[in-house]
Amino acid sequence: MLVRKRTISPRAALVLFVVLAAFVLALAVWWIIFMARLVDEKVDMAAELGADDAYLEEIHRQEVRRQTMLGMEGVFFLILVLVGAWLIYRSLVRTEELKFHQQNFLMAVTHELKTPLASMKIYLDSMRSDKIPVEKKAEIIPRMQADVSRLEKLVENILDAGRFERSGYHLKIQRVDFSRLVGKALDELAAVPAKVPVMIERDLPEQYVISADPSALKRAVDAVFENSLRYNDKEKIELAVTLRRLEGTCRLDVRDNGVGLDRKEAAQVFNRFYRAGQEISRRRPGSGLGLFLAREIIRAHGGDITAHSDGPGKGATFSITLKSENGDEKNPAG
Amino acid sequence: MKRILLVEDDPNIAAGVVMNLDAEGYEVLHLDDGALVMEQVARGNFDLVLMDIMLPGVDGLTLCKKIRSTGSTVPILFVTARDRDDEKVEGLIAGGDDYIVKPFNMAELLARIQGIFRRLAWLAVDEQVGDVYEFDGRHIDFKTFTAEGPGGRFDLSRRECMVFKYLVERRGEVVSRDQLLDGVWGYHAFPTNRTIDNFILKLRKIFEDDPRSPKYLETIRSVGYRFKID
Repeated sequence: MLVRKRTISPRAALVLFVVLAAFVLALAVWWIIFMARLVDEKVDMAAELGADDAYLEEIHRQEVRRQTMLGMEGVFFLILVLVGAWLIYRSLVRTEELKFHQQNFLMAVTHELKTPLASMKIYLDSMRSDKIPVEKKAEIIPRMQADVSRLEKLVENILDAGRFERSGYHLKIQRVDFSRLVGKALDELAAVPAKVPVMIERDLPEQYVISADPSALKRAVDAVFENSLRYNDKEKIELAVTLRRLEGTCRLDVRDNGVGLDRKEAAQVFNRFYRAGQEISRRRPGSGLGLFLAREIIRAHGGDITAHSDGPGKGATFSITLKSENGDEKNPAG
Repeated sequence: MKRILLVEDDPNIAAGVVMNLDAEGYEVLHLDDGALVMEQVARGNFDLVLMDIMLPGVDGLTLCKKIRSTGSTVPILFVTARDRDDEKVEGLIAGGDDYIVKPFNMAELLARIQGIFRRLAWLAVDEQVGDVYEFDGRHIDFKTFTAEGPGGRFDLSRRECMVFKYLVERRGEVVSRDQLLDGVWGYHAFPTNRTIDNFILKLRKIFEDDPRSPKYLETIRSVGYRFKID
């Protein structure tokens, strides 16, 4: 059975909001006209009954005062209704957006979980097959190893994302050479065979010691690098990695020549489940958890991570800012 | 040698499938990007397309619709992680011939592929019915996939031809929906055997004087259908 759940699209919600707002405004305008007429009618009626001018003026004044009061109250309620409708509209749109990203996430995770499983299943079947020549079978083991690590990483990410939700991240803080850690991550990156050449420009101080959880920090840095490589369609990928000391902090900038971000994406890219675009035409692997976890890790260290881009197609810069020990003579200035 | 086009973005799965199809004696071309598929289908002369749905570039469903819109009847077998019933129906409505969910057994994939080729061979063979079947001034051509009746002249899909041929081969007999599914799709393909009804409706529109009170394509309540000519 084909069953589709009924939902309100953001567009329908906007139409509903505009119609409601227009209706409320029309009602208010009509109410004002109605009240103004009421004053005139009352004065006319008094005049017909033979009231003198001074009395008529008094009635007019009193009525105008009372109706001004009513009018003010009316305007207040009108604003209340409009603000309420606006809030409902906004929350509807946000719920829809969240739902979209959650569905996308579910599809992404399904794909990410099933793909290495499917691959391993094929290779296990192939190992047993008499038709596959022995030399072909030799290719199987490294491929299965790659599948296992991929699966392991995804499961770790999902479990960690859940853990963050419940209790935050427990860091094992120690003295870490941040510069060496970044260098190591880049070395590993360079060692992985890639479809297109990757040019990495490093500007790292010889040594930069901070207090951090090395394995967590490495994960965050890896997630940023991975993202920069993944969201890149160029024939040659360029990465510029800079680590600098600023006042009381240090900043790692990762600039790429990738697909870039628009302003909305730059704000959302660290959200849990967020993945650019529609999942069905998935351009790139991933679950939408990597950058979310990176941000959680960096924030648990008291730092922050941001994304900046001049726009789609113009590359992006991801910046990780962490507290740095100022008085540490081991760290170079600048 | 049968030629198979494999559209799969995961390099490991692709390598595994290619390894096995190769060993079975198929000639395989692998593409990892949906954007390149149309060009290959147009000039590739493939006997089968094995396609993932979630693909970089263009998704598999859109590709399948595009392939069908060019008039190509190349069989398409979806290989995908999407396993909900409505997702399967979506794939088959888009023009897919069969559907296998990841992770799958290689033996099952090979059996499905053979099943598709077997059914194609059945449609092409004219032992009982012939290339063109005529009755009461109506006719259907199983080679060109065209039909003419009181409803006018129609182009049919391969599936519609297969459904009709299956019924004609068993004229006078009651054929259950399950039998039809098994014979035409391979039983597992559709999550509900009611989907068959849509095909019958289309055939009635072509061949019946009054599709609402059918003379040739009878519904046998709670069983299936019967093709009947006096």
